[in-house]
Amino acid sequence: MTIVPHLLMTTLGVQLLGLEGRDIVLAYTFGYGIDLVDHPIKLPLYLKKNWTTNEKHYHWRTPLQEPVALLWIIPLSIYLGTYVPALFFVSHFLLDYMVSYDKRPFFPFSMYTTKGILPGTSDSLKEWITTGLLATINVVLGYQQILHFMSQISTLI
Amino acid sequence: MKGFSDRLLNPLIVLAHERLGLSPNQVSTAGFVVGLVAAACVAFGQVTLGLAVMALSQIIDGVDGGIARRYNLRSSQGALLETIYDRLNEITMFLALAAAGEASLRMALLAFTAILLLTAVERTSRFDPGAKRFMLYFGWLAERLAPVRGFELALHVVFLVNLSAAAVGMVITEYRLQKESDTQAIRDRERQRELGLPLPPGDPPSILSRLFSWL
Repeated sequence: MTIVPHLLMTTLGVQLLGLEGRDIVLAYTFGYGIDLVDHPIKLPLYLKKNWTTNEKHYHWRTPLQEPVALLWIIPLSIYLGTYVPALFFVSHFLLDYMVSYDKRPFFPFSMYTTKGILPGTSDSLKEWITTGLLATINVVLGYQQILHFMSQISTLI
Repeated sequence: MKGFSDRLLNPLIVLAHERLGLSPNQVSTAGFVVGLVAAACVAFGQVTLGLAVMALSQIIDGVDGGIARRYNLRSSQGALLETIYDRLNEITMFLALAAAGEASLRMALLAFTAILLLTAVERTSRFDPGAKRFMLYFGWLAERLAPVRGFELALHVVFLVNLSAAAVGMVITEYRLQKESDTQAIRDRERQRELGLPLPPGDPPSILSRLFSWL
């Protein structure tokens, strides 16, 4: 998925769980920021192969954002004493597994390749529906928070 | 690095193999047993003595590899045996530190988990920073230089370094695979071009590729 649904999903999770401080940073790091680290790793290889031409199904992913990364993210979560990295990372790769490019979920331990969930359905359709749904829930939750905030102010006055 | 340690340990390598007739696996087993003794010393509160015995165990650990290389006795079973012994020595030493109250059980288990993960990944990535039992000497030193729980601190370092190395190792392995497949694709494309064969049609330009072309 593109950055928008990832950002929306992470924001939704932060709102729903009422995260604060360090947990917000961890949520955005593992729910969204992992993309910013992962994709540039393959950029030199992409440029060498394709320069500026487009290769739609280029394998941009590394094990940093595959389920196999849970092998290090779960111990890290235990170390940090919070479930946030593992939970938001799961939300990240679940969104990615909704679009149908090749993924190697267990590499380097297995070469198994999958196209993810509902590979027959159009990727852009899935992306638009997910984005619309997440954006709506975010706005509804945000709207309720604003109303709650306003009511608190009015009771103070 | 291995060449340097082999030169340094050369007298011991010659002594163990030529004089005593020991095989690399027998030396590995001896190193493992000495490592267990070191952990026992630590568990019974003799931390400094334990670390001295652990140093001896690590020297023996260097000798077995040296024998295997020098006398061409390398085998995959020998390497596996050494890895198993090393991991067992690490967990016993970490648990001994926890038993002696020098470190928490939680950090001992987390540090060992990270080492296990790195071991699983290192097989393909060939990337291992080597921050395992060796870090405990720094922990010992830290306790003598500053009012800190040195061994606990050392286990934090062991955990973070090995966990990061495992994550990086996975990426290295995947990057190599991608590089190999890309190189093959480029070679195939060039061959087709040389033969004057038509190239398969590319994907239509994306927003990013248009932007890069424009730049």
